[in-house]
Amino acid sequence: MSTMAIDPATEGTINRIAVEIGRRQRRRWLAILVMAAAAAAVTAGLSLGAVGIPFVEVWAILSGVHAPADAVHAMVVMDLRLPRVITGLLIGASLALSGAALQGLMRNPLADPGLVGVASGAALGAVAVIVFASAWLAGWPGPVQRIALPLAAFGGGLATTLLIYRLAHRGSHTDIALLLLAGIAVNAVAGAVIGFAVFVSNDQQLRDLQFWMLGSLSGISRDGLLPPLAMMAVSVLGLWRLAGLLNGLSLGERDAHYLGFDTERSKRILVLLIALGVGAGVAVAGAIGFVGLIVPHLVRVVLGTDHRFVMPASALLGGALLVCADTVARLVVLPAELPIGIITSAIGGPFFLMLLIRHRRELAS
Amino acid sequence: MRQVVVLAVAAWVGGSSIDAQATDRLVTVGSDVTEIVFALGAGGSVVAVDSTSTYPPAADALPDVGYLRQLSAEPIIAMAPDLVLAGADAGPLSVLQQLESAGIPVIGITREDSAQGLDEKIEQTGRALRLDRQASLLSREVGEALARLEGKRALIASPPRALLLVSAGQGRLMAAGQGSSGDHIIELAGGVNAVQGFAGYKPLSAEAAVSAAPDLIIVPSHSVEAIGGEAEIPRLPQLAATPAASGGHVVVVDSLLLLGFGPRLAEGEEQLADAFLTWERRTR
Repeated sequence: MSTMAIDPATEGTINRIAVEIGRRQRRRWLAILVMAAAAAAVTAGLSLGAVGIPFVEVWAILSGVHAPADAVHAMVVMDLRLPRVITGLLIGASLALSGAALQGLMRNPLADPGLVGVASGAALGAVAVIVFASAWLAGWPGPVQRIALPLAAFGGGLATTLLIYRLAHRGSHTDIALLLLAGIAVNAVAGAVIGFAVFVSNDQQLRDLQFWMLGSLSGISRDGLLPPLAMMAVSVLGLWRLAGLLNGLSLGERDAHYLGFDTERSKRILVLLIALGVGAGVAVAGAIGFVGLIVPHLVRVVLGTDHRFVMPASALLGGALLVCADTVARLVVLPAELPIGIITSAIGGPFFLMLLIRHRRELAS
Repeated sequence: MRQVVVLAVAAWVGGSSIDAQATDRLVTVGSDVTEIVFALGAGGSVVAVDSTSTYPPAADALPDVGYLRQLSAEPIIAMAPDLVLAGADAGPLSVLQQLESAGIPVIGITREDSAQGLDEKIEQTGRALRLDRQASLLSREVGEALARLEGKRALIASPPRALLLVSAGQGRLMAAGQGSSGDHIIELAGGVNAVQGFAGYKPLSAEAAVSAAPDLIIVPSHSVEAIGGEAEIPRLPQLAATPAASGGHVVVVDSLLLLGFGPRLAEGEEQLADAFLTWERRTR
C-alpha cells in the first residue's frame, strides 16, 4: 500500500486553515491581553509619579467618593495625571490607527505617519501658527486661538498625505521607494521651514517651539485640550469603522470596488481621518515617532492582517504604549522629565531596522 | 519622609545658621536667581534647582528639576517647596500656573541684562525671601565691584571691536547681535560689538565675520569644547581672515560669570576688561 498522497495545493490549504484556527484562538487571548495592558498602563499612569500618592487614595480621588484628604494630591491626580493619561491614550490610539490605516491605504508595511512625512507636515502647520500667525491671532478670542494650532496641524498633515499619496501611488499599488523618498523630501522641507522659523522667531516663540518640537506631554493642562481631543476621537472612531474598507483595499482597489466600496470617496475619507488624528496629536504633544509603525506591526504578527481585529487592537495597544512611555519619561530622571519622543524613538528605531532586515528582499526588488 | 529630607538638608547645611526666614524649602530656576539666593545666604533652604544652576558647587549638588524652559509640575510639587523663584526664562507658563494651583507660590524674577537689571534682580529676590537687609548689602557689594570695573574701563583708550560667539551645536557658530546678553557684556567691559545690524544671536558667515573685522573674539567657556578647544578657534575657516584670528586674540570667559548676569557679573567683566587692556598693550 502506498501512503495517501496529498498534493501540494491541498497541503497548503490545510496549513492555512490550521494557521487560521490558531489565530482565532490567539485573538481571544490577545483581546484580553491588550485590554489588560491598556488597563495596566492607565493604572500606572494615574498612580505613579514624583508625588507619592497611595494607590487607594488615587482611586478615592478619581471616584470622588469622599472629599480627598489632601488637596494637593487631588490636584496632582485630577489636573496633572488624568489629562496626561487621557491625552496619551488618545494620541497613542490615533497614531497607531493612522499608521495601520496608512499602511492599508498604501498597501505598504513601511508607511508610518512620521517616516512618510505626515507628522512633519502637521508640524509645519503648527510651527507656522506659532511663529508667523501669532501676532495676527492675538486679536481673536481665546477659543479661536486655541483651535488654530490643531487646525493648522491638521491642514499640514492633510496636504502632505495627499502629496505623498499622489506621488507614490501608481495604478493599484504604491511604490515603496517613492513613498519613502517622498517622505524624506517632505521631512527635509519641513526641517528647513522649521529651521527658518527658529531663526526668525523671538524669545517667547522660540520657547513655545522648543517645548513642542521635542515631543512631550508635560505641558498638558486642561485648558484648550478639548478641541484636539475631540479631533482625535473622531479620527479613532472613524478609522475603526473603516476596517472593512481597508480589508477590501488589501485585495486591490479594483476588487474593493467590485466588493461594493465606493473606493475613491472612501479613500478621501481615510486620508482625511489620518490627517485629522496625526494633526491633532502633533498639535498637542509635538512629533512623537514610530508608534504608528511599531504597534500595527506587532498586532499583525500575532493577529494576521484582518483589519477588523487589527484596528481595535492597534488602538488599545497604541494607547497603552504611549501612556507607558510617558510614565517612564516622568519617572526615570526624577525630579526632571525626559521628552517622550526620546523613549518612543529608542524603541522604534531598532524596531524599524528589524523590519528593514525582514523586508530586505522585497525592498531590493 | 518629609521630615527626613528636612533633617538631611539641615545636616548638610552643617549647622550654619539659617536666618529667620519665611521659606524653608525653596526651588530656584535660573542660574542667576540661584546664585543670588546663595549669595544672600539662603542656599541652605534651597531643595532643588534647574539644570542650568551649576554655581556654587552646593547648588550643583542639589536635585535637578530639568531644563528651565521645559519644567514639569509634578516633580516640583513632589519636592514640597513653599516657594518657587522663577527666573525670566522659566517655563512653560502652563506649568508655572499648575504649580500655583497646587498651592505653591511662584515668584517671577525679571531679567534685564544691565547693571541696573542685576540690582533689580537682587532686590526682588531679597524681597521674595524677606532678606531685604542682605539684599541691600549684596547690592552694595556688587555696586562697588562694578565701580572698580568702571575704573578699569577708563584705562581703555580706544575700545576694541569684539565679537562674541556661542556654539549652537554641530559646528555652527552664533554671533551676539544688538540687544543680546553678549552685546551688553561687551559694552560693560568697555568694548564695542563688532557685529552690527541684527538682534539676538544669529549664525555667522565667513563674509560677515570678515566685514565685522573684530579685534578680539570672545567665547564663553561652555562653548569652547563644542568648537574644538581654545587653540582651534583662530583656525576656524569663518574666522581665519579676521584681525582677531591673525593676532591670536581669543578670550575665553566663564559663561556663568557673564551670560547669566548674576552677582558675579563684575568679576567676569573685570576679566574681560583686563583682556581688552592686554590687547591694547600688545597692538600698540
